[in-house]
Amino acid sequence: MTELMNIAVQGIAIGGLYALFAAGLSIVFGVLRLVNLAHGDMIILGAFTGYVVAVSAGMGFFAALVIAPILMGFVGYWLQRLLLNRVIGKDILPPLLVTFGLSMMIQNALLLVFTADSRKIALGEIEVASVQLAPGVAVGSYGLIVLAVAVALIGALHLIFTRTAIGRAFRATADDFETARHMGIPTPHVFGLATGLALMACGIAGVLLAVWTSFTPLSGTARLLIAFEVIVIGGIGSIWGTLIGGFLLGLAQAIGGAINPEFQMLAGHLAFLVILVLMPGGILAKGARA
Amino acid sequence: MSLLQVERLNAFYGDFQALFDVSLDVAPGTISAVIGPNGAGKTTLLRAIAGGVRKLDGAITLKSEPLRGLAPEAITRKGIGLVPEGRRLFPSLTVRENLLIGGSPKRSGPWDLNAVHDLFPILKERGHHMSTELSGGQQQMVAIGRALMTNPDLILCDEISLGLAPTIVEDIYALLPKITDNGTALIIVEQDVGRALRSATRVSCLMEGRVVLQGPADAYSFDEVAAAYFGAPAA
Ligand SMILES: Nc1ncnc2c1ncn2[C@@H]1O[C@H](COP(=O)(O)OP(=O)(O)O)[C@@H](O)[C@H]1O
Ligand SMILES: [Mg+2]
Repeated sequence: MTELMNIAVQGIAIGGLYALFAAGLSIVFGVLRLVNLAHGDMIILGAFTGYVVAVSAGMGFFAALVIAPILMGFVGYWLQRLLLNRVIGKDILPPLLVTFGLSMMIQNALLLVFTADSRKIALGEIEVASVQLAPGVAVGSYGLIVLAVAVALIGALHLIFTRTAIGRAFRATADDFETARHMGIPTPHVFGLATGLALMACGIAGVLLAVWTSFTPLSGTARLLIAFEVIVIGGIGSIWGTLIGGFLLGLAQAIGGAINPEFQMLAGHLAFLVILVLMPGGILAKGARA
Repeated sequence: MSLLQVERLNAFYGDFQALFDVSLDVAPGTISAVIGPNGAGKTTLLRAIAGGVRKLDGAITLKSEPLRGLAPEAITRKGIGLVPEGRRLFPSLTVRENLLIGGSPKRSGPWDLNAVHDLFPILKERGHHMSTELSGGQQQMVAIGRALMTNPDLILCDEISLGLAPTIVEDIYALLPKITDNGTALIIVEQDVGRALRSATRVSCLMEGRVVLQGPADAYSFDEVAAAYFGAPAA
């Protein structure tokens, strides 16, 4: 029983990280109807940005957790305005090609600057400390931090989308982009803000990942796959769905890993396939949307 | 002085020409009707004015400022509101949120949420419903209210009576003077020729992309307009 509890706790903690991986992908898909193939690399770009702030500049993890997302958000806004806005339209192929190209460019630029060495942000004691939840059930304190950040970020995104004017503009633009423009919504700016927000989330996810495990310039692809699985499991276009999807994927991996460490990743993919077949819309499907 | 001037407008979808040398003049606070059979180019004309048609030539000016070539959102900010054909409310937004979207250009003027609620009290009552849960007539009120929220000088209304019961259409038309009273002009695209002649001060009839009849609404009888409709030269 305690073993099961431990597995569950572990799964949920890493599920928080997975939800963070997925948040940006979900925002960009939800608002722009754009599948960002460079999403995983953007998380890794966030990790390197965090690494530079925390380690190279010596400012530490918490400074990185604030500064990297701000820088990433800025990059995201202008990336959208200067590049991606030019390619989004009725045809879905150009944005796919452009984001694929971006993925290659980010990987190669990172390789050039940082080489293929693996890196990590060390956090000292917090990383090894754990919190006792019940007799025999413990969770790493860093896992708790990640989980708290994930819940806070998803909650904040939910409030932004449902309660603010910009969130309203996001939803209207996603519903019917032409009509939104006729109502005076400056869609190029709105798209910029959406991608900015998405890359902020990538920045947060990247910095948290950088402590969780070591990473290289080529670590993005695996994170794109996880992000993709999370939003399909949770329900495409649903913000809370990313949290649910992250938890389920994390739990499936933890259970698989407990049976046999080699099953960890496979169990995650299996869970994804099962949900895709049984609930094609995901767990928090948004019903019929255009 | 005229509010909107359209001069020799030609509009294209690819190689297909949808409007030929269409000219139009709208004075502040008036109602102009645009009539014509299906496919005549009425929607194209409104979308062209609102910035929704890419390939245009000719001139469109609002208070002497050129509009042609501006993005739709810029044209809305200059003072043109649109009630699109088929209403096109935002399905993931509530009624209230749909109205608030119209308020995003932040133009100053008499229209805000309260003023729209005074005009259409039912929209206040149903504010928290999703727009898809409303009746057709109520949805049309949302579409009109949403355009009003942009505080426009001119509203382009594309077939507001489409698919609505006659009594509801009557109710909505009865409210239009409340909109024009404070200087806002309307262009209404209407299938019902009789209603167009009764509500508007000026009328333009389009056929296959060309203006075949244009002038003060009271200068024409129903029969003359009907004759234009069926291709016979107007008297
Ligand atoms: N998006 C479009 N692409 C190509 N042709 C179009 C498009 N919209 C309208 N048309 C054509 O332009 C002509 C005018 O259409 P429209 O302006 O919708 O007429 P109306 O509103 O008077 O019924 C029609 O022949 C129609 O088929
Ligand atoms: Mg039409």
